[in-house]
Amino acid sequence: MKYRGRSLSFRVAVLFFVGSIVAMTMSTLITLVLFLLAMPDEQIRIGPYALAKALSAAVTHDQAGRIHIAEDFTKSTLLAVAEQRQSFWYVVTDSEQELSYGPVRRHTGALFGASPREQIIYAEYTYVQDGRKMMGVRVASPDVSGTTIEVGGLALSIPETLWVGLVASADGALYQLLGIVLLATTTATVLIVRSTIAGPVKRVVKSAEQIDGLPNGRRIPHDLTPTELLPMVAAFNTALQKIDLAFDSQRNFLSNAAHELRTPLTKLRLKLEDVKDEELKRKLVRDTTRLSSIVTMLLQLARLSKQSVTLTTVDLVAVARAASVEYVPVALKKNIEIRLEAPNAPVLVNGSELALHMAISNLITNSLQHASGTQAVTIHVTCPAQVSVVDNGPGILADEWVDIVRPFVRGKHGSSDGTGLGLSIVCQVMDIHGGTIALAQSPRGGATVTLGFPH
Amino acid sequence: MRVLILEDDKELAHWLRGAFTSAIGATDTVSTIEGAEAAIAAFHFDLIVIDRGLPDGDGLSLLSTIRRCKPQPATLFLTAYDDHSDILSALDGGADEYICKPFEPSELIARARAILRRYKADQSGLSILGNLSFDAHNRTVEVDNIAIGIPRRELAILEALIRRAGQVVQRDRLEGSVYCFDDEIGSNALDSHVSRLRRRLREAGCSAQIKAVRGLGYLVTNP
Repeated sequence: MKYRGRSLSFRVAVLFFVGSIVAMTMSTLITLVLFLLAMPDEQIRIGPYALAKALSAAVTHDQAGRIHIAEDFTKSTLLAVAEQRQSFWYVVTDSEQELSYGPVRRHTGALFGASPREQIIYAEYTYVQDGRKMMGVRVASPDVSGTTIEVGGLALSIPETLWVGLVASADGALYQLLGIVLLATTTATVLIVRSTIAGPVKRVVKSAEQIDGLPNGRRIPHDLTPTELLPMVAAFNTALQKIDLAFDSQRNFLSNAAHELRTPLTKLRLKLEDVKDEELKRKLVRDTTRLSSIVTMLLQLARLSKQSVTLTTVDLVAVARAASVEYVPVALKKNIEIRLEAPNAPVLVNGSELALHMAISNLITNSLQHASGTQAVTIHVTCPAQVSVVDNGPGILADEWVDIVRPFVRGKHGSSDGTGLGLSIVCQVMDIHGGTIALAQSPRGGATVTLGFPH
Repeated sequence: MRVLILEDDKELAHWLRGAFTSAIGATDTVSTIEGAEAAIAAFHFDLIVIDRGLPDGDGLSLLSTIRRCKPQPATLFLTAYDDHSDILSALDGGADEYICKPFEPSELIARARAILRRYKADQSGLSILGNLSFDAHNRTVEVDNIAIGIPRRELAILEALIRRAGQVVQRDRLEGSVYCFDDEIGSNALDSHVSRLRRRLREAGCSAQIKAVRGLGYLVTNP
């Protein structure tokens, strides 16, 4: 309900409904006023005629057979107006009795030579009283046989005449008909407004939904857009353009940062070759290496922003194999065995090959680097989609599990070469894939990190 | 051996020149792609070390010029761009090796030597690993200069491994180099070939070792 106020079609429908009522009333009133001004005889006829019809509808006989005028809205309202006129009169007669009000001036009988019992369905006559032209009207009651009603002495102004005319037609189906017409047109308006406004808006929304978020990717097409929505679509496309520019500049910044940070680090590392003190050189080389790793990982983290990662169908086995192969020479130097346990068939996930390669590489690096005393690192790929990296090193202490995934936090068992960023990168990669990361103690000690992917 | 270094940082270029001159041979340095193209057109180089972020463009663009050279020099990219896609695009473009800055000086020289060895082996057909020598042209294997007989399939395995000494050769690649399309390959046929080859080399007193990496493949090293 709270959205109804915001709905364009609801507002238009309400406006149309109110507008229609005002327009219809105004046009009716103007037409009637002009009609009455042009036809003065009609003006003196409407009052008595309306009263006569209202009375004839209300006339009944009570149990004793006396004439009785029932109370109803139309008759009461009209009589309230008419009885303010001193000249107003009416008379109801049947074969035996007569009920009258006001100074009765009966002319019909004289004019037509007919007794009240004779069925004159309708008769009218004019007469002049106090210098004003008035009309007397005689009608036969439609329900009570032999009953006639005669009304006269009613001189009304134009507004009063209009009022009497409107009230007199209240009993008929006119207003119901008008109501039905109004409701029907309002409903039609809602539907038409919806299809003319909501339809094109929906088309624009559909195009917007197909925007892939890739740099220089899709835009909302102009050709299908209605003119009224063009400024919105143009603004939207401009915003996307700006996002692209920002994305490009971020990318450029990253590659520039990589270059600008790594070149001095390389020179620093090369200058260390000239350090004569072997112990000092070893320490300095270790620090430089760690600094280089931090730079590399910070750049990896920055690259992993969601906009820059595109997901496709990727074989986890192939990615795990490619990542594992790279680390075999390093592992051999450290006397650590690397092995891959994977099904023969591909394990497909929706993912980014580059990001997954980065994640698995980081896990293997962690196992090789931090797990002192590790003899073997096993990479398990299982179906449905999971990758675990298991080592038999000292493991991760249970109270570190939550903290260790935060940037720059290192485990107590880890070596001082670590950057504390590896698991943060893995977490970010899994976040992009909508997957999970679970840290656990391996069955024979050591750490098991399991990456789970949505099926 | 002649080496060309394309590096715009003067200090780094100076160090590289010194290191490559003493480890490999005559070394020239240029700082732009244009300069490198002129040098390649004028002289033959055995190895070209290429940086990527250069004043007149990306060093990758030099690969097309290098591909037209006869005989083709080996290429080693030495760059600050470490994105996996950067590395793949260079390797796909024909680069032999991709090393990210900052690098271990000793590793750089070792890798450069390994590429040159591979190139030399391709040209002469002769690969040497410790006391093992493999002649691809004559299909002979010698350990300490004594020829040993190795059957055809085991020889093919040794060839594939020795070409990428120190690196894992994946199972499917090994199988691809040993078996024809029509061969029926049993699930452990490759393993039994390797284990026989290993025994033969060990009995001949070979210093190089073939190691199995479970789930991945095999590699040969000279510890």
